[in-house]
Amino acid sequence: MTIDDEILMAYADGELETARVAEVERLVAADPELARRVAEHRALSARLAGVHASALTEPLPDSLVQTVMGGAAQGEVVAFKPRRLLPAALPQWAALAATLVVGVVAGLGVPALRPAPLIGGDGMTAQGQLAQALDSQLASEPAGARRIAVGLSFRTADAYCRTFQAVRAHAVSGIACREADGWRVRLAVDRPAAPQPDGDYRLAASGLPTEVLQAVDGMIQGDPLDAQGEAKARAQNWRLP
Amino acid sequence: MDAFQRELVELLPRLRRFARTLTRDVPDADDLVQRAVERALQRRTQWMGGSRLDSWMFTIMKNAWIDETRQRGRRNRLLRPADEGEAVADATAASQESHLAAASVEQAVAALPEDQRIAVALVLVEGLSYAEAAEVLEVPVGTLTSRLVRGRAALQAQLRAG
Repeated sequence: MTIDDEILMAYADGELETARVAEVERLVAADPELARRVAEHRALSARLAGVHASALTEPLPDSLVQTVMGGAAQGEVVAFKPRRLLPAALPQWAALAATLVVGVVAGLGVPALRPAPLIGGDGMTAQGQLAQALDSQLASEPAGARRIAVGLSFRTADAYCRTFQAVRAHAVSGIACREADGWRVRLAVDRPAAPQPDGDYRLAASGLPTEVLQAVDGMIQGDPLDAQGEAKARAQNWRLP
Repeated sequence: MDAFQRELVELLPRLRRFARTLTRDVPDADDLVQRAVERALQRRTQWMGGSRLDSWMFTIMKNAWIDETRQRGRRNRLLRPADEGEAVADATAASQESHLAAASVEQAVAALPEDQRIAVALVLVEGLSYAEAAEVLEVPVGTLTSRLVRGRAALQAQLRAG
């Protein structure tokens, strides 16, 4: 039997109907020319998988993200202007972060934030137990009975930043960075992280929502701080030397 | 932000990639994604939650692109009948040059006729199954596979020559 290219291609792609796979397999095994063509198909597939892959890692245009988010303004409670919340110089993830912060605060509503809000009325400043946790807790220490878990501590170009997860009443995870006047929440999402074993920042990081990890990826310089680096940064009050 | 918007944001990088294969131009690609996202938001009630958002978005984007190219074709016929011949000649020359030079995979894909280019993008770049790609294109699976065979043959020929 001869095999036309359509069948050979489907075989190479794993798309051939199951009933015919064994037969084609046998023919391919017996015929070096067929085997060469199958290999050629697979090599081409492998090369094509990388086409325009740069689109996957380039920062998203602001306008695009805002168009998607803008849909919320019509159907829901959230109205936002990310550019007014953040200095224009911040990278595009920050605009996304701002929309998320507003979404979270609006979504949770005031009752959920009582009696001790973690984020100030501006939607940006960490306060109360969140500010305390960011100041004093080390990620390398067990979270124990605390309400806030601090996951990753890392450096950006101009600040120390830390990821946090509210483990009890407030279902919030995010990133805060130490600025001159306190901890600024750069990103907050309204999903708690899965419970994590204590003590290992890599495990802790794995429980963070994808948005948070992606944002960390975009901000981080070098590796996350290890236990020693964290203790040192805390001793310096989380100010960059 | 609701689940639909979250999924859509997560999908944006792939939508941009698919749009680049469609339009062969980065700014055009982002314009196309923008239009597709606007359409999707208008029609979001038509999306069946739980079904694949990527396939649904690729369909919307493909249709937006067809509308766009039709409009362009009309504009070109009405406004610049003389230029069009030149543009076609240029494109042919450029494609022959890239053919002779070591043609990159992206250039080789860009040189494919549109129906083959979209089939290749959906199956080999975006990783859709034949059945899913046929659904996005709104054609029978047999039509999809014959486009795919022709597209691959052309790519292999061009890459071998390059």
